[in-house]
Amino acid sequence: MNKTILEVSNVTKNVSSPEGELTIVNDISLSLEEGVFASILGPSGSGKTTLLAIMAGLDLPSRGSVKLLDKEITSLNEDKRAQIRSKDVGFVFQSFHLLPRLSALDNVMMPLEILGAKDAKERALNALDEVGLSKRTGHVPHQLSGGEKQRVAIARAMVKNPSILFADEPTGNLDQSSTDNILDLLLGINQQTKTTLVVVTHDQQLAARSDMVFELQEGKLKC
Amino acid sequence: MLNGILFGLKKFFSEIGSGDMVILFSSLILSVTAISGVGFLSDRFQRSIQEQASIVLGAEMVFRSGAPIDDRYIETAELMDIKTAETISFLTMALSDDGNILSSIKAVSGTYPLVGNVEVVLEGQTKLNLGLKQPLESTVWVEDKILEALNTKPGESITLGNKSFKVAGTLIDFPDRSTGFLSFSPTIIANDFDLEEMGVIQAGSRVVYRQLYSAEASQLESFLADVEDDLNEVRVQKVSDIEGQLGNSVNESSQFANLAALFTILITLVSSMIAARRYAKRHLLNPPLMKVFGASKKFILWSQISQLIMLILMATIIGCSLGFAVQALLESILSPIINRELPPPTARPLWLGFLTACCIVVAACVPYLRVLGRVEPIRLLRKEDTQGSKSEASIYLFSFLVFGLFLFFLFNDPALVGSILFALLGLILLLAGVGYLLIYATKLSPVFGGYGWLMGLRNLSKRSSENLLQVIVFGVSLTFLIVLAETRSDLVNTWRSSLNEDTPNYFFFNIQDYQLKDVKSFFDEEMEVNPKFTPLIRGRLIGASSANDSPIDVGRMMQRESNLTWFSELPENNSIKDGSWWDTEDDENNALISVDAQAAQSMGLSIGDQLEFNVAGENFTVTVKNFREIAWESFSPNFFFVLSPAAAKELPQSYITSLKVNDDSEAVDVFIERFPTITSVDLESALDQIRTVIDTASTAVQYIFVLSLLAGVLTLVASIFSTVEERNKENAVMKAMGAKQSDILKIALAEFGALGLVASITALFVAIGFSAYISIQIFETSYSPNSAIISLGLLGGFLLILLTGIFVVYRALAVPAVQTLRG
Repeated sequence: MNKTILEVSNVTKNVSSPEGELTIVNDISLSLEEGVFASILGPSGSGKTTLLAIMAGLDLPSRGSVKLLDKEITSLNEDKRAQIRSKDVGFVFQSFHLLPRLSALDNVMMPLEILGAKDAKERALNALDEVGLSKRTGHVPHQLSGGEKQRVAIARAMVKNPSILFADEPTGNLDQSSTDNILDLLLGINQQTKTTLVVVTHDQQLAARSDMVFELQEGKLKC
Repeated sequence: MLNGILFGLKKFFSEIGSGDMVILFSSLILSVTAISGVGFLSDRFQRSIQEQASIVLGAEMVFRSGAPIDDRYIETAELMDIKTAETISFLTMALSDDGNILSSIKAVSGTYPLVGNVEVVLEGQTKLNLGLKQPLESTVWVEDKILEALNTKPGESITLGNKSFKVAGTLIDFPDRSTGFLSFSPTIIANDFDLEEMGVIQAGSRVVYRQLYSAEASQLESFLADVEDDLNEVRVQKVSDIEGQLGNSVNESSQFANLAALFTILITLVSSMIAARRYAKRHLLNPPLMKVFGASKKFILWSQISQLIMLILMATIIGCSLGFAVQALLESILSPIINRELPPPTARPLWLGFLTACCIVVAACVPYLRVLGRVEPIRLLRKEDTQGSKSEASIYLFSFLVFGLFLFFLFNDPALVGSILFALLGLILLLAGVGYLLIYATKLSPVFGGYGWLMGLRNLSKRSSENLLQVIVFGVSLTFLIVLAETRSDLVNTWRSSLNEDTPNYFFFNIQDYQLKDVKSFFDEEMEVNPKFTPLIRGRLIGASSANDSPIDVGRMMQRESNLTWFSELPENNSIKDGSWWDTEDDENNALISVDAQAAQSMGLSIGDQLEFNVAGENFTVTVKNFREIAWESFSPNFFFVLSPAAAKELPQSYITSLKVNDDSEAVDVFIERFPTITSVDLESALDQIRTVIDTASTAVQYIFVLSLLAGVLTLVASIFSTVEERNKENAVMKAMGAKQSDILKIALAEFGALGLVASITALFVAIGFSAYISIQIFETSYSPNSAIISLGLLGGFLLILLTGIFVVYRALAVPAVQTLRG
């Protein structure tokens, strides 16, 4: 049996709004084992992105706790959570969020430079090679297609060999062909490296390929 | 920390080519260039003063008077082992067979100079002699300008007064160059033994007598303490006075130049803030992205700090290098009025440039860093605007405070800083008011030229706050340039135009009583003119008391040499302000005086007060009969003090006169030859010299204001650039709906053309108002707008804005619409 890599316990997230307090995520508990591919499914506004952010330590819940790699991250400050993310967590965004004036190589090197790794360039080149972009290392983002940008983003997320990879609608801005390529890439990473993969999506096809599906509706897990 | 710094530097160099960074960088360089350029030049002037102060004086201490100074001071000083020398200086005509020229004669004693060197190239030699003292008897050392005018070489003769002298050498330089009336003429150094034979100095002649003293400061202080109670007729000058006086004038000039540079800094601060704001907006998600990948707050902070430091350092190096080039340019412009080589500058202007860059970066960029630092990583997953109006207001306030602190540091004068800010605020409000009205008026413009014109004008009022900013920023620099150009040309033209056909262009003075008849005959027979001769009496005010004998403190006028005269009738261009002119009975019997009204006010005089004068060693008392108002700008001799005939007839006096001489007349040359002891001044030449000084100095200041105009252009570019995404989207949507590129260009033409007109007209209105105020209220001359300057200002401002706007929009048109719409 694989060890538990992520444990979410009774997490609730409330926000203030003109209409009063809104509950975005309502008393959710789940756990993931190492190497699992999990999807978080749900319509727009169901709270899936918020849940993802809490799981990755990018946001704090109003109530409940999250344990990531045996560390209770909800009681840590921003810098301590950043420290965990720097070593063990990768993140892929729907809008790619590549730094526009850095080349593909420099973008992928960034997480290693934050860590102070001496072999950042070498490892970044390898990562780009893994995603099939060894010939585009010097290109800046506006010279890349949408699919290529997302592959750079995936390389950036994977360059430090994280234990868990979070992806927020990674194919949301892509055409079908690129979508298929990206999904294959992510699945390949999950299977080959045993990196735990958590993907937010409203793509049923993607969800069907995952090991576990968590369906959210109005902030609650659907049973 | 090191990782953060390295990452920051990497990011800095990758971003350096982006539009925002180019604008920010250029703004910083421009402001550093302006402040360091001005700083380098004034720093060199200051060092020149410090090095030259004692050389300017020619000694450590000087006694100076318009009358011969008692020899006992020299004797006392020599007993105290103080080195002494004497000089006697005056103006006279130097003559040769081929010409004549008004020259400043410096007759020196055998120990001159005490400080510095007289530099002479002796006859038959080529090398410079530095150790020479006094020229031999009957020989002189003559400046090149005189030799040229007289068509004479060393070894040949010239005439001064009644004596002929051999030119023993060419005078290159000497210490204690004069100020005042002696400084306009080139110099001849003569042996003081030859003075009597020269015969130029008569009773009433205008002469400067100087006794020079050189020793340790303590010895001089001791000597001064011994004699100063007796120094009634004498003015004492010390090295520290000269440093202070010249330093003050340089400080005032530097402050004025710093003011001009200050406007550049202010405008570049605005362009920097616009650029920094856009940069922050575009990079809003970078810090949270770095946090997602594990960057700590310290890492992010150091990466940002390293970028700011690199920005400051590079802007300082480039800006100071350009500043040095600017000061070299200013030095060459000012060379006609700087007569010496300036020493190299200190490092102070570099520090000033560095501090300026720091100020702008802190004021413009640091507030936005705080905004960036507060963005949470969750924002990466949302699409929200994170900058509310509240944070913008606090950003502007912070920037204003930082700028204010910088001003205090620069000028160290709260009153001056307060005045500057107040005046600037007034100008900005004026420009904003006029600009707002004009922008609003564009809404009411009739539609002609079709859709492009209509949309262009709509854009003008749609982006009214950005456009109003343009009007203000551009208007400030354009206003100053126009005001400076208008005032300069107006001032000189007013003087020139007051020289009508009959206005005298030659003055003659030092005409002695015994020469009067012959001089009158000469003018009558040779030139067919009968000019009026005005008596001139050199006297010194030595006491003042009220009608009931209480002493009056008249301030600076006490003990000063003054030019007195006497008239029976009220002089032309004078009117009585208070009291009455002397009637026949007063004419006969009473010793009366008329005083210039402004001078009387500053001395605290009333009608009936008594003034005591000393003329040629004799004291006399006169009663104040009236106060006069004088039209000083007229070209006739005017006097602060006019005596009644009874008071003055018997006093030693010379005469002055003025007349109109035709350009082709040789009569003046003949006159000078016949009357070599009489001094003549060509007024046209004097005016040309004054015009050169005004033209040169104002040209130099205008160059500094050109920097602020460049800063205005930069702010224009920054402002347009900050709306480029919005414009791109609008253009993309219009293209998607069928608009051609030419349609979009027409809209841009209309918008920027209208903006250019609004900005230029606004600046012109304000500039004309300022120029009129300065001419009428300050210079007290009439004002008439200079059509050439106004046309150039209007056209120049209009074209500059139009072309800059079109350039930025044209580049944006190259981006395909689909790319923009896809984001």
